[in-house]
Amino acid sequence: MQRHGCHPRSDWRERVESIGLTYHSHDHGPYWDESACYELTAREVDVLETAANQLHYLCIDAAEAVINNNWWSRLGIPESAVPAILRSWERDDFSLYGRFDFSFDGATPKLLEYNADTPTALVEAAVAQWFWLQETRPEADQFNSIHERLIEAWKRWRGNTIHFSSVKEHPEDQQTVLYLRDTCEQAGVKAKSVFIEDIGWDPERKQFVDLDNEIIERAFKLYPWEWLWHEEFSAHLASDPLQFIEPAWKMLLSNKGLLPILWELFPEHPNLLPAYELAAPLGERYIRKPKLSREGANVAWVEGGVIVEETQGDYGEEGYVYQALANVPEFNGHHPIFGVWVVDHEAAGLGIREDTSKITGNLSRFVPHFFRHSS
Amino acid sequence: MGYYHAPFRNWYALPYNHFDPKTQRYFYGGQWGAAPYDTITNISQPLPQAATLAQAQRTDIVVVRSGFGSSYHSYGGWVHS
Repeated sequence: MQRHGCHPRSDWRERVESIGLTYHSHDHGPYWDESACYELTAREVDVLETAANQLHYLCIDAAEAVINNNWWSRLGIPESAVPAILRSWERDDFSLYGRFDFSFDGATPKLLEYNADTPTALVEAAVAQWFWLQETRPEADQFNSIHERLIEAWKRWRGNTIHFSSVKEHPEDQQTVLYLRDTCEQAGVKAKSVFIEDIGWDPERKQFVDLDNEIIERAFKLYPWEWLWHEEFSAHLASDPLQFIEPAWKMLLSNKGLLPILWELFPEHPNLLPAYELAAPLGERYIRKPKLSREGANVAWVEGGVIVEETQGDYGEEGYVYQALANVPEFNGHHPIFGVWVVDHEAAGLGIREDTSKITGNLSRFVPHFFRHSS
Repeated sequence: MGYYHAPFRNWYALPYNHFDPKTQRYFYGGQWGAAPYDTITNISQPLPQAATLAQAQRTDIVVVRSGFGSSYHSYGGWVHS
């Protein structure tokens, strides 16, 4: 694996905006960063793909263990959510996607977390870096069939209407959901949009409705389940009036409380880092993560029993887990995290974000990648 | 919603077998014919799509909104992972 310095395309902003990546920069510089790229070997791509495929099913096995052993409190899942999760699990409700975050030194990927409910950085992984590849290295390949796999996954919903929902005033989320809606329509499925805040409850029909008062039967939501369950309309979820994508059972996988359970069930698995519900087994070097958090918020890096780096945020109410330090590689002060996308239960592509901090946060940069089959 | 035409299980803008003196034709089921539509069906249930559309156009139902989304705003807008 190598990190290359690159000359950005002179009109890169216009180019990425034209394919939906309108949020390419943040206050501190570019978020989409093509001044660098990563070159992987075909074998390294195989290793990442295999790890994601194996871990996805290990996570499902761990989720089943949570259900069978009533380990809900270990995940900080409210009791009110349990019946809906169980029904969703029994029905095997459709799951579209997720993203594993790995540390990867070129040899063995190590699971940092599984963003199985509301993963983002999708437009950049599925589309922006693919066009970048075609325009800068058309002879090379990329670990990326995300777009095609999404369309294929949606095809099972032909004949139905799916509502697509995100919060208002959040361009990245809106673009992500717009992109997913586009893949859905390309699959021949009818689609409508409704903001999370605009979803209505019709007390007479006992159904969720959109702004046209049409019943929402199934909805893709870019909104965390743990938030839905704490909000006013959660009382109406008990009767399953609509089918959400991602489904309620994904609450089990998107929870960092699953990390100690994975380590407990599959100790010494090469793709897992030791993880516990207490810090003591890890000594004085570990990462402390909230069971539920977003964008690396409230993560603490502890060395010698002292916090040496910590991100801010409002998470941690449900408790923390403690994970051994990963061997995150460094390239001239940049630390890459490898996000492997899973679409319809199968690994489908890779997006790399890097940060000068060891904790990848919401100001990290997305850097494209390529590989050559002959390498 | 207009007028319910039982044989066609749907609503239309004009009454069932409405006669237009200018064209000398009768309206039924969204079409015009030279003679009134003759059927023994006088009671039916609307098609599912027609019922959904009719429900959506009712103005007497009070729909409650803003029951989702509060956590996003209280968390200062971080949603991603």
